[in-house]
Amino acid sequence: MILAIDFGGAVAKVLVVPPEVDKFRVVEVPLGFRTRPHLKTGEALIYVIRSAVGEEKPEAVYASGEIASLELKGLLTKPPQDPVETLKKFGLPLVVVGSEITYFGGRAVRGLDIVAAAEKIAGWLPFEVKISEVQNYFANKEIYPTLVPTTDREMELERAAARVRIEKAIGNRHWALENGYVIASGGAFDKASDWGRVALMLLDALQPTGRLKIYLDHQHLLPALATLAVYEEEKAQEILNQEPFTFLGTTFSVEGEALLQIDLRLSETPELAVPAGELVVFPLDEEQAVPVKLRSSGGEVEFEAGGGPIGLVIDARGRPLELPRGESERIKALKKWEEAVCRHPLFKK
Amino acid sequence: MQAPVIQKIVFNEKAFVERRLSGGKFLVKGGSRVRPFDFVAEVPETPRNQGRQRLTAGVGGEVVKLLPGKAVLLQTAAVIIRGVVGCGEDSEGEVRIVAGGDEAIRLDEVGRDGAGGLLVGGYVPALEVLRKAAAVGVRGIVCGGADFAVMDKTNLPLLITEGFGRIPLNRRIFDFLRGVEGRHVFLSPERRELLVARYREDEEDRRELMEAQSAEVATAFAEIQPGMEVQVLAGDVFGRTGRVEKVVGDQVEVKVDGGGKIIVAGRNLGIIK
Repeated sequence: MILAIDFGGAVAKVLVVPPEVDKFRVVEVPLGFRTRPHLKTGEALIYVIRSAVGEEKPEAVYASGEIASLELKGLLTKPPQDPVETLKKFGLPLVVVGSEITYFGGRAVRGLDIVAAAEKIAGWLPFEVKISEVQNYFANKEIYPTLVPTTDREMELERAAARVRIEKAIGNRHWALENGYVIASGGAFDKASDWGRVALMLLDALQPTGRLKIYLDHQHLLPALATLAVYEEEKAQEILNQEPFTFLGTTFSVEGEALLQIDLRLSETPELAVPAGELVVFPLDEEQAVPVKLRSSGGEVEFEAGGGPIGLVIDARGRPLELPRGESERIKALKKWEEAVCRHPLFKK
Repeated sequence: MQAPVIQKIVFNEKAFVERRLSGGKFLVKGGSRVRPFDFVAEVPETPRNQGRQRLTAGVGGEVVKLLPGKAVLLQTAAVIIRGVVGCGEDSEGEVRIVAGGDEAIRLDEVGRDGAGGLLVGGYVPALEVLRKAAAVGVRGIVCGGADFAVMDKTNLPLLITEGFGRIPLNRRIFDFLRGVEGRHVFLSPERRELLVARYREDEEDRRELMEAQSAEVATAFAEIQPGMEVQVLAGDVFGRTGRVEKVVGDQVEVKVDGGGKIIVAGRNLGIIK
């Protein structure tokens, strides 16, 4: 049995790989000692290993994350790694949002500049808020990194911060997503109350153009799998080959209004008008992969949309996405978009 | 379900206090014992320096080291109150309670009678309170919470014991400080500590301080169990203390001091006792 551990701010994710690799599992161990000296002494590492596999003795233990700066070679089979370097091992388009590191396609943003980010975060909140509330919330998370959001308001704060972090990580590399796919990983995504919010967060922050397929790392596998990949590439590849990510659905982003034809192989092909500035969802079952024809001012495109929990989402809000300037208009727009992607009962987790 | 044990009030038999004075000569020798009002150093009167300056020990204890022209290092027994954030330079003064542990330190409570003192109250509601306190000669503030934004807008020494926002002062800390109101204490925002040193040489003083400390704990973690006193670090009751009523999986039901019950993830709790 091999263990690959990623130490996050609040949770250590332990990938337990038995000799039969396909029986791998991920165990999450909440951390509560970051401000204490236990991490330095290795006690934290022993605690995490015991919490994950009890008294079983692993053949090898690899780790990345906060532990990377520590000298724990005696406890680990190989020296700990910087998590960004481990994620780079994959050539996959990943968005990983953690409390410490936000990663997109080979580039990482560390931490959160509370003062600089507070206003941007407030801009993504669908309610009125004082900047001091935003600053206090995230400053308290730095003091108590193990805290988890408990109210809807705190969840909204987390999602807004995730958007700001992703925006910063992607920079101006939106082209990297065109007609591609993305794998989203991190608590901000899988703690969302429904899948629609995951899609909305990604559309808001990544602002892709054209088609984008969205996958979710619902098992919290990626950071620990990346750690494994550094040392045991074949085993990591075997796990990847099992397609461990959940396909959520397809999004297509257009400029201005669009007319959509979805070939469901019925007697008539339904047409859907998407007004400029709107988000429209067309539910598609998980087994459905349907041809779609889309006409807009940019011309006509045809593509195949795979179905999934979020269905097919057409984003006609324009690029770059600009939020209304007035407070009440901005809140109204955010609520409308959220309702558009979250209202369908199919999207409830 | 485990949670970290919070040790906010700790008794330390060997605490060190540095008494600083620029220039001058020492009036004590290394290894000698001092009482709080003994003079330990003085700067004589010079044409540039109007009047003789004399520095008291401030604590009862032993002179450990003399740093010529700079400071006298004293060893004493002390209660150390640990905060989570501090700003400003080291300071000292008498403890003055100006608001209840869960109340705001109001602007009108900060007056000239606070000069030379360290004010204690629930939370700082606005930057104006800190500005007025600095203007009237207050030496520092100890509170449960204050806005993150005030931190870089004041030079007033400040110790926040719980977190950012309108968060009350931990009840144990408040009760302890109320018990030592008027005592000369030492604030080190950089170390995030308030040091309440042994004042008298007698055993009663030592016992009083020792009784203030939290229960000694062997590990930084403990299993959350019904009956435990905890601090809630979540939602609208952030920073408040309460008692565990029930533990179901990772969810914990807590009866919050001052009324009301909440269900909270165990990860958002700190164990006090």
